[in-house]
Amino acid sequence: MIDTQIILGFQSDNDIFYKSFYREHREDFVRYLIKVGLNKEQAIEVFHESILVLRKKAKSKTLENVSVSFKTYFYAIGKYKAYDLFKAQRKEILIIQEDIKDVAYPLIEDEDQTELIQAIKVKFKELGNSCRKLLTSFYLEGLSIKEITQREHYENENTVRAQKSRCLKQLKTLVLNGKER
Amino acid sequence: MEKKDKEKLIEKFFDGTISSEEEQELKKLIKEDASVKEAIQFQAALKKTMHEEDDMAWRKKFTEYEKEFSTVKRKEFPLIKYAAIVGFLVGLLISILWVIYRDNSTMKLYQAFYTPAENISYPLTRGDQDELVNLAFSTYEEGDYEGAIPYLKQLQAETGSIDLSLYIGSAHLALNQTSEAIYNLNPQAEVSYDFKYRFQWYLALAYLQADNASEARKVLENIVENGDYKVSAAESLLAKLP
Repeated sequence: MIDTQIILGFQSDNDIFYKSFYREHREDFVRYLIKVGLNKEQAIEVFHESILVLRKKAKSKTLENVSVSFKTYFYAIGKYKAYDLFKAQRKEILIIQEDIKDVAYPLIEDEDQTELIQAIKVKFKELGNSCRKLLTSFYLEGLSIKEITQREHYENENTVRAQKSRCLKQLKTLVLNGKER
Repeated sequence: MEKKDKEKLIEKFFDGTISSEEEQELKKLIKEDASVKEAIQFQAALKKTMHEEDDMAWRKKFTEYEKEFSTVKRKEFPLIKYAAIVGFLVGLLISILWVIYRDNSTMKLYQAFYTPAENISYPLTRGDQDELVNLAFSTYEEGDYEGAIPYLKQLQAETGSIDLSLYIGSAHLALNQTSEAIYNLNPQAEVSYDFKYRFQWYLALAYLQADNASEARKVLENIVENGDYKVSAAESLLAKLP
């Protein structure tokens, strides 16, 4: 089981937490990956990607269900990422052994969204502060509507839902208008 | 199904609280209702965009951390390759120099100023005290910090008291578990007034343990300016900071 403080740290954007974590684990983790067979540059890259996996897992609240120790879990992520890298190098089909699939994707068909993603990237910046904050809280930080209501002192959950719906509509309009030009 | 219900279903899908029955229902809706499919595709793209941007920003930060890490490593062992060539004696000399360098560092200041946070929450008395309180604070006051932390956390979970993070943070400090200490001493919620500057004092010490003199300075300056705890110690520590 993973300590709640560590989970909270990975859910946050706390630079000090991440920097301390980096300093504490960098040397041993990279040494371990070099033993697995990576070179130093690859090992550092896998170390970075493994931290990102922890961050995503913490935000999607799945880190709470891990039953092994933190170190065992973290090193297992690194090992699987290293195997993925070996496979990619041998030009085999990349099999993501570490289950980090986004909850959003199994339901929808595998359509190419590159263009839409690029447009969202540009147009998102044109939204007002409050919209950007609300959408980020829900889609990136993984907060529920209830948690956003409490944290941002909204009147009630329906107010948040209505505001979120307005923000999505505004973003969609910006994206569509951008396409038409 | 009403629009509001469809939106609720989509919301549950994205916040991860959707049940398997609801997921089946949503799958059916995606096939039957183009607006639902479009809404999910748009929101999935938005979520993916945010994660990609977030990953990119953090990768940049990690690259900076790596630079810092390598620089510190080089500073700590500037002559390591040389030492390998000229042998054990030079290596020994470097180690001695390094120890001297460390001796004048923020770690030395931390060691000079750190004393465990005093228990002002539950003065231990014989008799009628809660068993968990007694266990947590007697272990803490005996200096068995490794043993005390789980009890303190359990007590915090039961009472919901943010103030207890002070003792948890102080215990982590004593065990040189710096990142856990910093995390606990930076509470997300408001602490009691009596604890406010105690937290700040131990946070400053945690930054010293982390060799982060600039953050320690900021916190200490705040104690000197506004605080009511360890003000003169903070002044004295500020004067000694590198």
